[in-house]
Amino acid sequence: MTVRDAVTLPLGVDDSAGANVIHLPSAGQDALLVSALRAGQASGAAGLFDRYHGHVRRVLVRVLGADPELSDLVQDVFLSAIGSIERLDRAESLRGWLGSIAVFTARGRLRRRGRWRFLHFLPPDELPEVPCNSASPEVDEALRATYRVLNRLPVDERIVFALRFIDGMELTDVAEASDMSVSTVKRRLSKATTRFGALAQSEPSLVDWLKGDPRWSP
Amino acid sequence: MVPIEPFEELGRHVAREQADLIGPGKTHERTKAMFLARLRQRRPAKRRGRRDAVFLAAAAVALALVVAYVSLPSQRDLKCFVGIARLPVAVGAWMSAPATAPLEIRFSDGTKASLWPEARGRVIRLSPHGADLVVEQGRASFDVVHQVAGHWQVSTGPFAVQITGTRFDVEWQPEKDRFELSLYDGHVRITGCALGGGQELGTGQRLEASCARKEFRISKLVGEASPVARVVAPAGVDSATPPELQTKLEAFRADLAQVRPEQHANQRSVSVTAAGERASDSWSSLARAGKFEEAYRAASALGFEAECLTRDVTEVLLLGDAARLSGHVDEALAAYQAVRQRWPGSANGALAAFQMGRAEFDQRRNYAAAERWLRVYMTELPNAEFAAPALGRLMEAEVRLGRYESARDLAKSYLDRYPKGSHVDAANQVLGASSAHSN
Repeated sequence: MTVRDAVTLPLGVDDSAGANVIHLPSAGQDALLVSALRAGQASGAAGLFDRYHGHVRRVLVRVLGADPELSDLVQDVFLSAIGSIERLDRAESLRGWLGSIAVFTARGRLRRRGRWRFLHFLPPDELPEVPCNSASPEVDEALRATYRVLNRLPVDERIVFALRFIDGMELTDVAEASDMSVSTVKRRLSKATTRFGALAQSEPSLVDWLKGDPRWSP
Repeated sequence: MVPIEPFEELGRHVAREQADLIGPGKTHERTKAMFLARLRQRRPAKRRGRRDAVFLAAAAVALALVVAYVSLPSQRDLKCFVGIARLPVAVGAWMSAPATAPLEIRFSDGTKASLWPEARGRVIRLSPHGADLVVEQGRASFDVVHQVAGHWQVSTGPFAVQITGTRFDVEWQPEKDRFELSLYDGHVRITGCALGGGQELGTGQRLEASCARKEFRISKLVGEASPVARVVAPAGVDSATPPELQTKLEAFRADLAQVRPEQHANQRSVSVTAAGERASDSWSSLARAGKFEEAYRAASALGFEAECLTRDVTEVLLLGDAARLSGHVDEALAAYQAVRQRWPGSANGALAAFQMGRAEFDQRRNYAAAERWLRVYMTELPNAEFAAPALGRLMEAEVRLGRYESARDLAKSYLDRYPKGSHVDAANQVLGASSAHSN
């Protein structure tokens, strides 16, 4: 793909992150988007969504794991961004700025989840129940176990852990997305790995993954 | 060689496993349409007007894309278009009329519908002879072109309207619990809630109903023409039917159209062999013995749907339970739907709603659908056998849906009504968490 091809692409390029995504020259497109949004043009909202839906969704999934509210949360991020577009200093920061809103949204969701988590342990009612086979076996046990452990971490430690190790962000990007300094990220990451490693010992599917780390080996 | 940091390796594995959740295009158009609709609702009124038109066009384009991705109906199905540009409508996609103008929906047979300003609705099924529509809230007008085999249904709140050709306005205001239908032409049959098994309405009549108060009133329309009456529709399905069940229900509905319940006994005596009778008894015995998987297989060998259409209500409920408890959720829901369709307005129909709520909650983790069915049960049988667990589960569903205010109200209600119930601890915790949250 040539640069000419890239710049003639419409605004609505889904850049959902993944190994195969080609990162196009974007500053011009982001500037156009921000201008359209500030002018209140509907095409700006649709274009913003098309262009960054994948990025926002990915950040939310990394931090939250599977969440029945995911679609609503994605919308919340874009609504929040459009409502505060005047606060964006530089158009070229649009992607990172959206990521930080996604992390902020995920943080709120996690805190709400934590507040209501006790309801997962409601007693069964009086009718007989037997186990069913409708659970999704295709979901990897290590994946589920990872989020079970993450559920037990403090929210900010969970966020930096997920962004750094699952999403593979650089420390500076983690710091920008989570609105922390790099040194704070490093400190939280250290605590998070210690805590994660300890908690993971109760998850058989994770033990093998952490064998290489002498801290968790017997 | 530098060893790979175990956390990074685990993280990469987890990221790979999440590919399905974040893959390109995943739910993109649907989420986008909902986002644009929410955005439009949030715009201040003074800035609407021109923007409404732009947003409407964007939403309509999104709907058109959803059609391309999601719904390619057979050539025989009616086609549906929205707005002045007459863009194709996606089955299942929500449409919202702007605050200042109605939104027109047209079908390829000439039928027209119009969502009044701020009303919201969607088409949930298209067939060669009609369509099923949902009006979630607000007022809508319909002018349905008569066909001999026409089959149209409009659901709104807990009510459903069946027609084949007529002209009417329907309105549902959930916050006021107010349903109103003004019939200008033809006949319709309305079911749901206060209307039990159904209420016929003729030209020039208006019906107003309240679900909570279980009452309805029919009055004459004043100053309206009374054209020639048209054909009454066949019996329909429950108003709260989730869209994902519509396809399966269509098969049931088609069968029911040919085999009415009162004919079942005779048909069975002719068409079911002695061996078949024994097999039927067999699955029933297996289910009663708690051998649900075996019961399900035995019933499937006979024809699961046929069993739902020919057995008595107790056994269809039992068949639904066997399917549910053996993990065959789609079939379980279909069996419960058959109960509601064949015995509308009955206590067993309400029980089927409760069981659907459980299946949606426990097995599909579809808390929105669970909430809907549990509310149907509680509306139809507020003080019956499973009222306490229904209320408890409804509270839990609301929490999982993030509707904490509603959960708090339900928790209070639960503690008032069932101070020794199994959800008492949970209700107290909901109130405690709610109190902490507000502080």
